[in-house]
Amino acid sequence: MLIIARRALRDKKVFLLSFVLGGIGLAWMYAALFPTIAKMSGSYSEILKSFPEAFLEAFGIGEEMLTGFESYMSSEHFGLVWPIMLIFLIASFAGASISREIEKGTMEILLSLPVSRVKIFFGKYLSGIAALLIFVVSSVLSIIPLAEAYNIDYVVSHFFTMSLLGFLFGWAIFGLSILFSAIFSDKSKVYMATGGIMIGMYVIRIVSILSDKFDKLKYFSFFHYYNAPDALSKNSIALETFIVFISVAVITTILAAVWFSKRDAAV
Amino acid sequence: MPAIEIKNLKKYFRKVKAVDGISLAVEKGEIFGFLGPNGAGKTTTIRCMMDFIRPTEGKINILGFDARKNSVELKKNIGYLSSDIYLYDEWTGREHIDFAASIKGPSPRLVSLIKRLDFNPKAKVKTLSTGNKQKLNIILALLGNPDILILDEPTRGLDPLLQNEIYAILQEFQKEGKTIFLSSHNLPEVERICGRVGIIRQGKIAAVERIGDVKSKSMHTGHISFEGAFNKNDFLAEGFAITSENANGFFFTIRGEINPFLNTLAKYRVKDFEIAHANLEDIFLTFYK
Repeated sequence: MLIIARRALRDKKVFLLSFVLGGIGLAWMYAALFPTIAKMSGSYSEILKSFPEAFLEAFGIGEEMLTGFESYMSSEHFGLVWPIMLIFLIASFAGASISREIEKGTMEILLSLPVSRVKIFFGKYLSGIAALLIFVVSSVLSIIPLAEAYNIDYVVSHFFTMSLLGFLFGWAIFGLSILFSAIFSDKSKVYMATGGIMIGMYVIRIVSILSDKFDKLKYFSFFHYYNAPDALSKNSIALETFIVFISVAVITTILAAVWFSKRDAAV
Repeated sequence: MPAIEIKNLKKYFRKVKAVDGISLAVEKGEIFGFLGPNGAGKTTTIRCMMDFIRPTEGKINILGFDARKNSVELKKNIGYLSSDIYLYDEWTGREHIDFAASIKGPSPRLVSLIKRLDFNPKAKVKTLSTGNKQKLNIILALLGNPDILILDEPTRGLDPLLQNEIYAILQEFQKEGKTIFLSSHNLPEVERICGRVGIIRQGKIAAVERIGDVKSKSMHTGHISFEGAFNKNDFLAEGFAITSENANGFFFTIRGEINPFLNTLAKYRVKDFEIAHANLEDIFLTFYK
């Protein structure tokens, strides 16, 4: 199993590295901009007041983003760009894990070896989890030395909490993606299904914020539970976030493993 | 106990009956040819044997074990070669070999095999020719000293010299008491190395015969043009048939021996002459309707 995991990770090392560098690069850009933005916080506050409150809330923008580095990063970096990068990375790893191997026929190489389908699945699964960890830890914790470099005040523990939240969020998405990868024999369908669901969840989140009538819809969106401002500013992750993300990840992983074990794995 | 035993295997893809109730047994130490035209169900049967796909119905036993329930244990003893070349483009041959060997175990004949097939394991797969990719496939199939080889069209894409080398390697395996299940749509290939042959057509077994019996069913097709007058009745013999005629000659088929035809032909001055093995589909239509 570990041999398969190691190999799968090695095959996508350049892809993973580009995401890691991209994540660090963006964090660097935001960290570099922060001292200037903090100086101009008065002007920004005036500008923000001209926007509708619901609009600002929907896109995670608020005056509090100007009150500290953590708040600023939670809205600027972890509000949209970073989760999109994470979703792309995870869906790509999941798609390449199973459906691409079946689509290209290379799954026959693995299946012809004396290793069970469950081990093949978890070998591939582990590589995705490792990629998720590497991306989350490197792109979140790299902000600490960047803050040091720009003499920005920060609280170390808040970034560890953000790493944990990012990992849980990514793990739940990976669970969904790997389930699609186990079901479909075409990687593009994995990307479409994962992307479609995530876009749908984002829209649900926006709608639930904009309209009180649809408030309860928020519980069907991962973006409701992915609360970066709380993690970074208040150093807290709600219990429901743990419950939802871990439940989704575990259930989809089990379903994916069972599905892959039972399906025809050659086309 | 047969080395491979397939009982009433059925595999349906929705309404398509890819394999429809085939049964056959392969004895230990035998080279068994699994012959059929493209789309007959050979690859589907092999994929069921390898547990890549699951039968709709039926049972497959290999070395006395259920091919599905004991799949992992069995694969320690099975060398497999797929009909299409499925390799990782970005890996080198050496990386493929090392990866498979790390799971399946080292092969006692690896070094000699690489040398014998004149294969360069350092090159990336995406730079290899079809023939070289097939060499790598063969090396991977023979890793780990397997007792059974399941080969789906192993000489596809190889030149005649390399084909001969593969036949020699397979015959050496047989001498060691190993069993070889080889699918092909090439009748001369099967005739050359197999002891028995199972003939599959439209998902059903048409016949399982000793290779000598198959040879007697060999068929040729051809065309002849004469320089002068000819009497087509001179050629009439058992198994000979004229399929169409023109002013200078005719098109023909010959079932079985061709020598009587050639002896008659020697009496004439010939302008043009062409003869070839009939394709498998023609043979099936003639013998295994």
